[in-house]
Amino acid sequence: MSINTEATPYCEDVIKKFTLAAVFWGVVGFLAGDFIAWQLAFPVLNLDLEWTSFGRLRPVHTSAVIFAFGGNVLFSTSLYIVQRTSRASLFGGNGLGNFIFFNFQALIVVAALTYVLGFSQGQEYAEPEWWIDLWLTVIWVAYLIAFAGTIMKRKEPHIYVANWFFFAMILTIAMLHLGNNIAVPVSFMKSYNVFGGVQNAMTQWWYGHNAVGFFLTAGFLGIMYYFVPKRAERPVYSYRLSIVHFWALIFLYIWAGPHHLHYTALPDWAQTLGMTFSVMLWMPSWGGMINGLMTLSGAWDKLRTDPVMRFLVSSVAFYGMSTFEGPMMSIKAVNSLSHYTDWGIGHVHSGALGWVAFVSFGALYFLVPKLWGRKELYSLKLVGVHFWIATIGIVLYITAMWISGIMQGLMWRAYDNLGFLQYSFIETVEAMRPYYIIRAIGGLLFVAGSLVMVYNIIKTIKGDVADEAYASAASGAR
Amino acid sequence: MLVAFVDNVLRPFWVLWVIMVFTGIVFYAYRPKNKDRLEEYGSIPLKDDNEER
Repeated sequence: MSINTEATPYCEDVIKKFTLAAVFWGVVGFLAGDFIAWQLAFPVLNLDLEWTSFGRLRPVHTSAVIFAFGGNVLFSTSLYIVQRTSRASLFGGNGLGNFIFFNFQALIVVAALTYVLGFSQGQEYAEPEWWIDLWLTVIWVAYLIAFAGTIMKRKEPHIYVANWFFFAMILTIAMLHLGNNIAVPVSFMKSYNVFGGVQNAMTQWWYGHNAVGFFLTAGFLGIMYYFVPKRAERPVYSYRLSIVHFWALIFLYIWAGPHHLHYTALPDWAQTLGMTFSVMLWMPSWGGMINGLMTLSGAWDKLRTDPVMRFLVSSVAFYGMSTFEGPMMSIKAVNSLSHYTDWGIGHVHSGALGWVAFVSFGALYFLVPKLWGRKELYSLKLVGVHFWIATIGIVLYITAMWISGIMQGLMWRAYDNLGFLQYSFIETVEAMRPYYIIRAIGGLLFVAGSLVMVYNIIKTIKGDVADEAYASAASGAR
Repeated sequence: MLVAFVDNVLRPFWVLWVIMVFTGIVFYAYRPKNKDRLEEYGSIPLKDDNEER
């Protein structure tokens, strides 16, 4: 073990850009989501225009939060972490970094515009047309080169576990993106996927579920494995567990996709295979959660004194909760009730808001003062405010969707004593409406919390310090 | 020859091979001899600061 005596000149300009872009697209994506949530409760908000209808704005929301927010968070954190844990500067430097950055931001804008104008491949979470897919492939290869190149010139002999997770994310997303987007272009803005029918459905959910497994889980676990130890100032609870966690996740996740196609034309054996692998995912999921949480053992007081730590730790708790719920919902008997209902939406958001967004907020709050050379954030108190507003928002969101989804599923399967379906579709919609409003209020709180973060980050970058920041730093464990 | 070997031996038992690889990884990770070395990697994030810059 050598002490890093000569300072490595880390490449941080481009990390700053990705960080700011992540914050910006986060707010845009949350706003888009909350707007379409209100549309579901008040259809008049579709504005009677094709460009602002739910069907076109929904992919804007999903792409903005997953790829624009999540993607920029992953670029920012992975390229930061790989430099630090390799003790090497970014391969390709700011030049390659800027190439990735500007192309990726331009691609986001172009993709969103095409959705609004009505162009779509019709593959969920892979809506952009064929030439946008090719453009993204170029960006992704550049990212792979920057990331792998940095690892190859590392001074630290061991490749830290966070980088394993990022690497798995980069390789698997490349494979999924290429596999699910094999299409025959018939014009500039129209193409047909080579797969039809159930083959198309299976390819789509092989892609879709592993976008969750490798983009939103493996990538963000990389974030967890760096920022939790860093913020807690303690080593990973069990590095050996992290190795088993990694490989268990890699071996199992790729098979879980068919659980999206229970009781469809997909062969029964494939459905059962998907269900079985999903249930087995409980193991890496809880292994990872234990590893994240126990890293705090001996420093639990930080949960009380450090709101940034609270974001990171709560995200791990939400990870444990939503990855417990997921395998449960993949069991066919449960799925027959939950599938196609709002329960699915609630489940996705407990993972997306509670796990992905919270671990991202924790990472961003850690990164901003580091990158801009500030001692600490403008105000830790405002981080606490953000935490509680967002948490209440999530709780409103997911409880509303549980009730609404289970009710919807029960109403769909209810028969009267003559064997007729008891409820018409519109009656279920009517019954769900109050919960749509509660969900939209929850979303509004989540957006409000993110605006508090924007204010805090702007003030931090300016170099302002709220008085109480000194006080909490002094009373903290450091 | 190789194709026949892959088709007749490797493919039908792929679950077994994958389980063996995974078991090997668990064995490697939890082998007492590797404990100190592997656990030391857990503090890599704590050694990377250029704060003195």
